[in-house]
Amino acid sequence: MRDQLSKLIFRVAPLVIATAASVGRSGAAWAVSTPFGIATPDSSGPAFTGPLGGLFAWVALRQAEFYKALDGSLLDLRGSNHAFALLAGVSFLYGVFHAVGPGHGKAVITSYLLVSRQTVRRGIVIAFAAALMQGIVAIAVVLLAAVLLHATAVQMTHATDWFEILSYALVTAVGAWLVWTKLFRRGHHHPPDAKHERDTHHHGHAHHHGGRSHPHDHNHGHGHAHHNPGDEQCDCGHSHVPNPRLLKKPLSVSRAWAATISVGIRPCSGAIIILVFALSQNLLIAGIGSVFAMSFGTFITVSALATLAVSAKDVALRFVGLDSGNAERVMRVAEIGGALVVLLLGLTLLGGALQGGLPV
Amino acid sequence: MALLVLLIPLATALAHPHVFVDAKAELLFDTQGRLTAIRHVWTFDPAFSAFAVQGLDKNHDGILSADELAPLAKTNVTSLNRYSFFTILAIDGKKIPLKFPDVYFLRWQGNHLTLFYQLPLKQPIAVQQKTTLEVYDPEYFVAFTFEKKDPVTLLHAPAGCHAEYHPPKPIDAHIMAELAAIPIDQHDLPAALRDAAVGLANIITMECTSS
Repeated sequence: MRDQLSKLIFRVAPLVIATAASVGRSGAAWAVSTPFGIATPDSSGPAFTGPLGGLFAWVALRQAEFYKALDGSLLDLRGSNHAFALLAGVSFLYGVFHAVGPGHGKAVITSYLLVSRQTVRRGIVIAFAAALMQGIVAIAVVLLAAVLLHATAVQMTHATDWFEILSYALVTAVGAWLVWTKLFRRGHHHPPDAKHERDTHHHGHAHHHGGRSHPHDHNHGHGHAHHNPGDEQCDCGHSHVPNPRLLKKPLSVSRAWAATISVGIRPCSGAIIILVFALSQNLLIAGIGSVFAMSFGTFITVSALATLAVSAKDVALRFVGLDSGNAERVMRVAEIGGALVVLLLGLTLLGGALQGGLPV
Repeated sequence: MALLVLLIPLATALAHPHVFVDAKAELLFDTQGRLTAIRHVWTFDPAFSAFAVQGLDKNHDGILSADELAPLAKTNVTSLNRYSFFTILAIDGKKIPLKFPDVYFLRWQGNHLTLFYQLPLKQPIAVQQKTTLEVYDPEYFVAFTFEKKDPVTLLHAPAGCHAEYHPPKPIDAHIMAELAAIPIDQHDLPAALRDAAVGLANIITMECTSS
């Protein structure tokens, strides 16, 4: 078991270094700082380079057009009855294009889905909850800060910077959680959709090792069982047949929540700016409607991406053959890589956000 | 799948504009005909303007006075300092150092907020060939365009000096195809293509021909 682990780490190491290098390079630009001291950029970095640079530049330009069209269509509400449909449409498209561009949200959700072997359906639910939450947080911030407290833009930016730090801390926690599970529970993992043969194989495997170095494995299993009662994987050291009830996994649900909240808790600057603008024009209700339409657009993009990622993995696995040991090994390495990506992303974002000190 | 997971964070390292600026630049010369300062006049879009002044009308008289806007102006230039004011002044490709603004203020007009500020040069310079002023945000959080009417003005410039404004290049399908043809492992784009890809730089060229 030790041997295999070190072999695995050896294989994953170059992957991690490459990722760290690529994430770190743009890390400084992720700092919570903003050109005018108000409204924090959603994320940034060396824009429009790399193989998809042209495409993303195009998306950013479309997104900019829809964003610019937003304030106009808000004001049109005064003159026409069709204006609300137009506003909703523009907001929706803005959400769609906005989500194609930047944001750590997609990275976290997709990596989470792949690493913890979630289904497409759960991916869609998580994408929906995160997008909805993002809209609601923006609305709550504006209602509380601007409407009730008459806060200034600087104060509101500080408030959202705190949400951002919270979000990054949660991403880091989810990443650490995934890495921990992937690295140290690797022999004991039961995906919810696992075929029975595979489970049998694993248990045979674990059992075999248990026979060879019994004291070690025994302690190992016990340690986990005591630390995390109720965890889906804890029982594996002792049970040779997966208990269907354990596959319900309360911890996995709370992990899904953590991933969702880590993405959803950070309001988008665009939504807040549009809401404050709507408020200044006495069109707050329309602004709130616009933000929900944006959230729906974001949900469409993120869930499409999540579906694509999960399906691509399934197809790839079908090609290699689900039962082949190689596929399983490749999967594990990729999953550990993915878990590390989430962890590194969280750490980089958090480090960047805290670089300039805490917002006060 | 590993590739996919790795690609996603890279693809997300992109900003998108939440601030739209209609800019004007004024170039200030001294009595010896040397360039001494750049004056920026940046008008923000209505949405960002409304957000920026939220809660600043302290006496609730519906008017945003210079006093009420002064703290925000200070916040603006202090924050812009970290972004080098999105301003690159260069002679023959060599960057000319600039100082912190000595004058800055905000004005509210109609439904727009306008930031005025003056960036002095560390050393006044005689404008020779190939002097360029670039204004853009490479991260594209701020989208700069220059106003159609008088994008650039020369103040007290010697005779024989003139400036020309070159708007950002639009990104077209041809450039996208060229970009797509570049191998994945090639990170350093050819300079011409990179400029086209960024496509955001507003460039003012200046020239003084001695008479």
